[in-house]
Amino acid sequence: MRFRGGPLLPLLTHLSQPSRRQMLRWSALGAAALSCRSRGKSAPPPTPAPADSHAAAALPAQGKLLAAPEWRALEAATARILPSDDGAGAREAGVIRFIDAELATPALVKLAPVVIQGARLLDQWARERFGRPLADCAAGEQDEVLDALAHGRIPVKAFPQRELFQLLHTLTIEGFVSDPVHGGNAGMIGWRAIGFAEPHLRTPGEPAHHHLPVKP
Amino acid sequence: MAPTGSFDAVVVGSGAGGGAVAYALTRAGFRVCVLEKGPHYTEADFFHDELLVCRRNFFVPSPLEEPHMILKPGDRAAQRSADTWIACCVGGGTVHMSGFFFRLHREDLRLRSLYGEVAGASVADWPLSFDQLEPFYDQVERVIGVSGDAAQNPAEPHKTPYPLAPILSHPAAALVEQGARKLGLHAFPTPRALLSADYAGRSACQYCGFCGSYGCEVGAKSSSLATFLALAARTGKLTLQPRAMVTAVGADRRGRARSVTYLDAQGALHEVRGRVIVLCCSAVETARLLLQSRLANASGQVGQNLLFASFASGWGRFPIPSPHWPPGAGGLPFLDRSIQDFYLLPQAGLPHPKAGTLLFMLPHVNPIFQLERLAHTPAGQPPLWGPTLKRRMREFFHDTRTIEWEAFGEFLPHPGCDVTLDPEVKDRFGLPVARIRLAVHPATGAASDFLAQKGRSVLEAAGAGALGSSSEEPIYTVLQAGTARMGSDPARSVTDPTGQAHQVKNLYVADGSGFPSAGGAPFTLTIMANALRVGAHIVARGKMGQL
Repeated sequence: MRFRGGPLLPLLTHLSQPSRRQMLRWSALGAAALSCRSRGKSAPPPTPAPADSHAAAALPAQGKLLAAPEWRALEAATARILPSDDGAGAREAGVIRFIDAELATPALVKLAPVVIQGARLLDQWARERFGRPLADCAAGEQDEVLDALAHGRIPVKAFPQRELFQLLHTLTIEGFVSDPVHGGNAGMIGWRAIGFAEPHLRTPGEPAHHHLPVKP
Repeated sequence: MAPTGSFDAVVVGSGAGGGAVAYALTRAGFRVCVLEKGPHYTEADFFHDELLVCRRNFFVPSPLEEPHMILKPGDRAAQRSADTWIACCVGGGTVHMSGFFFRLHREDLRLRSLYGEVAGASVADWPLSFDQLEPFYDQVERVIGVSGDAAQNPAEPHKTPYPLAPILSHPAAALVEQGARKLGLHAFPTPRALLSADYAGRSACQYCGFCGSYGCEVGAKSSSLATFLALAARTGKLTLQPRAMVTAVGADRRGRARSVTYLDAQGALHEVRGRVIVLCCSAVETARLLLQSRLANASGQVGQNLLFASFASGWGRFPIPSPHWPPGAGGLPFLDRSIQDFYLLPQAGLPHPKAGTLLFMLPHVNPIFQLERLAHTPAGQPPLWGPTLKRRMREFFHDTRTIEWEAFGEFLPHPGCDVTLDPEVKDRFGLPVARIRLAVHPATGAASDFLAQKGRSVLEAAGAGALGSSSEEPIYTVLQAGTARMGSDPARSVTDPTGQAHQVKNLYVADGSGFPSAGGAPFTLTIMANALRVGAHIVARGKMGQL
């Protein structure tokens, strides 16, 4: 069953056929969409972005599919799913480039709306909690936002939070160690990180595919 | 040009069954048309891209366009899935199989006679003896090339040696052998449908490791594509039509199957006629086609008695460097040891005395697959992420080496596991899709647990530092059989012992659908052997003028 590879197919069936009503709700996610404000505790006042934030990195003009704010939010999310504290992570591998390219392919294009809405939701909740978009939050704050998404605890109605987290997780792993022709795994950095050496054998008609030397 | 007109035989499906029966018929001089739903990949189309080959509908249709609707016990509604599709391409599932090529044992064909009924199950004997099947095992192994060493497996008397010596194995195979010996068990080289040496004009395995889940770009995997279909094509009698989605088998007024209609890649409908029509679409899809065509189902048994292989899997980790892990062996991806000492266990106190086969192997090369497994958590929990996931990655890829076990066991047929037509959902062709009730008989689960415990103990005896289990439900859905059971009684089976439909004399089933039971090991070899047997019966009837 190995070739079925992971949870992406069920997600695709689940997420890519939202009802009209769901779509309307998702597209309403915006400034005022969070259905209930956190009670009792008000959001902390905005503080300056931490010095070690990657937020200052040059913004991409725009992806194939993702606008700059969505790009930044998703890049920050992937960098917490596979962090860089222990060797290369999602950021160095350019996982966000993979996600942007992959969501534009026919296989996954139907997932693009939910991912884009999800990026906006992450930013919205980060602002609510910490007064900044996700990419400008400190690592611990970003983890809190992602953890809320992973457990479906962001107070927003009718958005498939757990499924979106699962999808981002899957795309992050795919972008980290898939062939660099797909946009991620920059310089085969993901393959190097896990000591993966694709055995060198002819790949007919596929000169663009990559190889590492065989592991001794 | 899409074939039309008349053939001696029309074969629907080109996998383990379809390839073998096309080989048998064309070699006997039949003009055969094989209709295959999927594309015709060749060696030039196979490459090592996990994302494209394993995760983006290279082999199976998208469940958005052509779902199987799967209903599990406790689920309120059926879910769209691709899990029960067998690869849709010329060569079918044999193209991306790992090629673990076991025979059934003599007792497997007589489960009902030897061990009686099981409450809540529908166990039946095969309507033929092992002696009738055995020559066809010999023929498959010789024609396609299977590598192994029969002398090392005391549980299965194998009169004819394999044509090829076992595939080279990683030195860590010695750990499994030692572990097995400590427990009084016998680990033998897993028979593989891979060439350990050049054979019959094909070149030997290059040990690239991209075997299971991928097509072989050097033709060293003994798939239907590389063997039976290539040999059938050489007779000049084969017309092979890929991207041909069969919509129905048509019958005439006398109740004989007359023709097969199919949609080509452009969606145009064609008809081919055959003196004989042979269905080999996989257990799920053969049942679907029969139900759609309203044929051969006077017994109401079409779609019943759906079989899979029961499945469990797990792993042991060995620290490196350590005396427990042999150095060297770069570039040897196979470990390939199996144990069949638990194949039959009348004394073990199990609810049914058939257990199965333990296979030992190195982890699959696919990095995305491995990372996802490392992140896996119990159902309902989000996957692991962040530093926890990276710690697991370091441990798996850098600090330890892993040996895995997989347990394949007898899957008892029962009334809770079957194929029907979904009452609502249609595929992109507008045809009703298969609805599969997927459930395990308790005795199957018990045997699977028993094997799992044995798998763990062998690796523990081999010196593993940590042990774990990987699988959650004991069903291996890409090995499937049943649904058009062979039998002597037309009231309780779909075909006769030769694969001929009881009510439609020129309609045959030659994939795993005819199996009353499927044994305690992967059974692709048995599908091929049985298809050659069905083919031999068709040829014999043709010679006697009975077609």
